[in-house]
Amino acid sequence: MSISESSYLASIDAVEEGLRGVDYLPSREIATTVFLANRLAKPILVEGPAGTGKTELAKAISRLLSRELVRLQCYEGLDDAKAIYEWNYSKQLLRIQSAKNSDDDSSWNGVRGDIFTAEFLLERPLLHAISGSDPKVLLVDEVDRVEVETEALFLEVLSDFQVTIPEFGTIKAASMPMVILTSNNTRELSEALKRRCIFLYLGYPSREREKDILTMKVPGLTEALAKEISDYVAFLRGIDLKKAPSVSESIDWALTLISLGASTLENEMVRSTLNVLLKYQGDIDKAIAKLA
Amino acid sequence: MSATFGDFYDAVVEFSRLLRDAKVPVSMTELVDATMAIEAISPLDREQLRVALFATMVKSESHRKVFNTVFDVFFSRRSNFFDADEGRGDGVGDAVDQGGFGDQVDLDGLREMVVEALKGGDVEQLARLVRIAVARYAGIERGRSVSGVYYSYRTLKQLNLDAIYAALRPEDNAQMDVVAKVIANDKVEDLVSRLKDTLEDEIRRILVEDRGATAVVKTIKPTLPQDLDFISASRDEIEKIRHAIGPLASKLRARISGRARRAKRSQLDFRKTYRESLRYGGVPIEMHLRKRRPSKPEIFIIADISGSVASFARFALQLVYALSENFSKVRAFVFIDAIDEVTEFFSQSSTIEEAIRLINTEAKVVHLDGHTDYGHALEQFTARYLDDLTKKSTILILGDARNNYHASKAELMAEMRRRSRGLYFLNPEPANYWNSGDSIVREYQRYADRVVECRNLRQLELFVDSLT
Repeated sequence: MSISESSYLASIDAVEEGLRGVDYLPSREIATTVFLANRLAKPILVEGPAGTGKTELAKAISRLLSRELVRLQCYEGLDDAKAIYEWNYSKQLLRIQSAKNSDDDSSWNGVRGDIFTAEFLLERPLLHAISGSDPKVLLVDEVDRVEVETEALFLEVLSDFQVTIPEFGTIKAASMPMVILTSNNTRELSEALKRRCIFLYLGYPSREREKDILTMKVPGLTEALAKEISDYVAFLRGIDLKKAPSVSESIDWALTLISLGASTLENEMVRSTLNVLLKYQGDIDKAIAKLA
Repeated sequence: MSATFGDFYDAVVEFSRLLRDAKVPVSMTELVDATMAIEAISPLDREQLRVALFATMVKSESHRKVFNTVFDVFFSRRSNFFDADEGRGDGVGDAVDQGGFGDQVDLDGLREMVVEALKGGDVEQLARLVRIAVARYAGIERGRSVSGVYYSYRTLKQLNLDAIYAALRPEDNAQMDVVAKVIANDKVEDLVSRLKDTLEDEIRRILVEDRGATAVVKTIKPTLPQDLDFISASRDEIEKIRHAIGPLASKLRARISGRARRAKRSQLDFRKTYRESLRYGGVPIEMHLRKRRPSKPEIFIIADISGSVASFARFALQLVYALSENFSKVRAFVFIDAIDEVTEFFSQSSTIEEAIRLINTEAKVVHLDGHTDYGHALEQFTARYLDDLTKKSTILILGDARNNYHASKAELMAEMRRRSRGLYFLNPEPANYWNSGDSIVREYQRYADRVVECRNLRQLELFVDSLT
């Protein structure tokens, strides 16, 4: 770990300050959890509704530490060949072919040991994240999309930072990656996975923090309008909607309002732009009814 | 005076025990993590300690409320750890003098000051005022094992919550835009809940001072959403349960569709294997198997929505709603003494409330007197829908099997079971009440694959897990 890197993770305040510096506004809870994850060398399991900045957190950490971000997007049917490593069959075959032509008696022994070496290994994200001498940030995105059985693939990497390849042996991490798993909580994750992580729930931000996020992300937004927007969005999240507006949607809304030249929230403007914020007609109707 | 790390270790162990008592699972590894986390932070900062313990010991957002309750009590401001940061008076008695205005302030003045503090966001001042209010009006009796809800109620009643609401609301201003009004009213709610939180905090502080943290946690008995009883749950609690249903519904789908990948056994896909082998000069290196077609299960949910299981019925309908978003084919039926199909209502309405409203007003579930009659409902179901059942159908019946001494017609259920893939009876009553009075679980038990006690989400989850 380089000197500058460890100084970013030296204290909770340093983490908070650092993340702010790379355009991510952390709450105190986020900063504390990131700090702890580093201290305890544990992955962070980030859970929460869509659009609250889960993936963004991983990106921000990679920017903060100037580390490469290795991303594994999960989906139903993900397997070890796509997540960890794969043998490069074609290259192995070529190697065998070329040995055949060389008419060397001892070639078999050579080839046998030879084709199961690092040269013929295709690194997939999990293996890539722990190999190489420079530490990385590993993002396992939407881990709840894989089946429970597939979760087991991650366990070895997550708890021991190593990968075992039967033909090859165990590859230990040359450098400790910082690991972030995200989940939209569409299903319960297995106990085994949860136990290995520390937990962070990213819900909707407080009014204050959302206002700050808006002012940071939307150039030209006045403090007063940002406050109104965050208050109104907070109100919408309180009524029972099918899909509450996320932070990214409130940013979009702020951008829309700015481009329409709004300086304050008023009835007509809100009614005509609600579709940026809410994605279901039923929700829009409900919100409009409250403006009666 | 300040606590050592050793004290904190002991405290964390005790704390984890209390969490486990509230059914939050805390494993050994997690406990070790928590102690390591404490070393990394400054545990005397209460919010840091809260985050550190939450991140390491709790792995689900639905456990947060219970965690916070236990944390607030256990690491309350009066416990051994945080008395140093107090400096705001030592107990109820002298708190009144702390602000320097003690006795002069009357009730109206106090209320006014509370409103000011809320509006100005002055946390310190609010805490001070609440302390005075509690000392004066809560009438706390030492040594009584109560959870403090009543003290909080008594204080708020004296302060007159309505008057506080009125004072917080902005004056009715015709020029104000409707959006601004909506925002302002919403903020009032926010402020009032802040007042309530501060009040509860203060009362908790006194209770803990009086009887010790462990005892107070035990009287409060925090309950996880998973353990809330369907039948006795309040509307608020039902809301909490609802949030937890989504993941469960998708799990149920996975179980019932019998997991496509379960069997490794499958037929060789010769064409694909051969074609791929061309990549390697005709050597079939990779074997490809035919993909098994995922089965498309159908679910028939039949729910008793009579008064005796009203909350449960609400839950049942929520389950149906969650399921219908997950399964392509869910058919829903409700009955009291007549049965009606309500599948349409769910697909028509965009929210669960609307669906429930439609069901309550439109569904024809009363035949004679509106007393539950399983027999008649089964009779009607068999007459109208029996032919729709196939070997792909799974039937879930939700109800308490209290039949008001009508005929059970259990033999009809046998026929339904024979035609379908499985029939499960989920009963929200405790198993030891079954077969007492007019409960006729026994008669249906013979024909259902299983009758399952299903009083809370935890049991429902167990049921789902047991399906293969």
